Amino acid sequence: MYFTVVFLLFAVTMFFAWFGNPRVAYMLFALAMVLTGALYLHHASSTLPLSF
Amino acid sequence: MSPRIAVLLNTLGLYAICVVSLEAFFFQLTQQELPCPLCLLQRVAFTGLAVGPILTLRYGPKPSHYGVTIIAALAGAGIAARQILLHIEPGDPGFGSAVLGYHFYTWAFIFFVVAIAACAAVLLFNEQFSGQDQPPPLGLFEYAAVWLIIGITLLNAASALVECGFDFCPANPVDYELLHRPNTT
Repeated sequence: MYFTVVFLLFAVTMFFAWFGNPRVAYMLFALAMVLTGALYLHHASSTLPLSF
Repeated sequence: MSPRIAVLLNTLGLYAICVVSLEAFFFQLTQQELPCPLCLLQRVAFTGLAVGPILTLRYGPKPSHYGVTIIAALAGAGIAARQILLHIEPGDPGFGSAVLGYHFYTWAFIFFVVAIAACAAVLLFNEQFSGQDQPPPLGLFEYAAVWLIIGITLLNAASALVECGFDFCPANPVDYELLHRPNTT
């Protein structure tokens, strides 16, 4: 469901980029990227087989 | 580079994102390869790549539009790089099938890096930003690109809902959550 929310948010962002205020589109884009980052942090839990 | 050429390049970029997204859908439906959470995140990043070109088509070329694209591409490249590193050990078969020797996440990483390089290259041409606030007149080619990517994004939203259901996606999905019927025998 969370991926669906992010995809829909990007769809709304595109809609505002095309029809609405670009400033709103920028804010929605930022919100969508923050949610993407949160989803990444949730799912990127496996340990990488690397050592630096 | 004239604004007309910049708009054309942005439109071609939108079509490239559409082709990549549709190709991912093609393999999902024909090979029964359900996208993992990191794969879905890369699809999200591809979707984010499209916001900048849409702004350019609507309002004309501006540096901030390319900035939006670069931010989405950096996020996508980071996600794809993590998936590459997850399967980098010798003998690891990787996740999903390979196309021309590379897995999808490797191709995605290459695509995101190319997108960043393309934005940097286009930003070198200042003439596109001078003067007008309105883009050149748009035709069916440009309108179709915008509506195609919006449609694909909505398709991705529906696909993610069917695959993941109303919770977080499993790490290694094997079935569509909403289509799965528990065996009652």
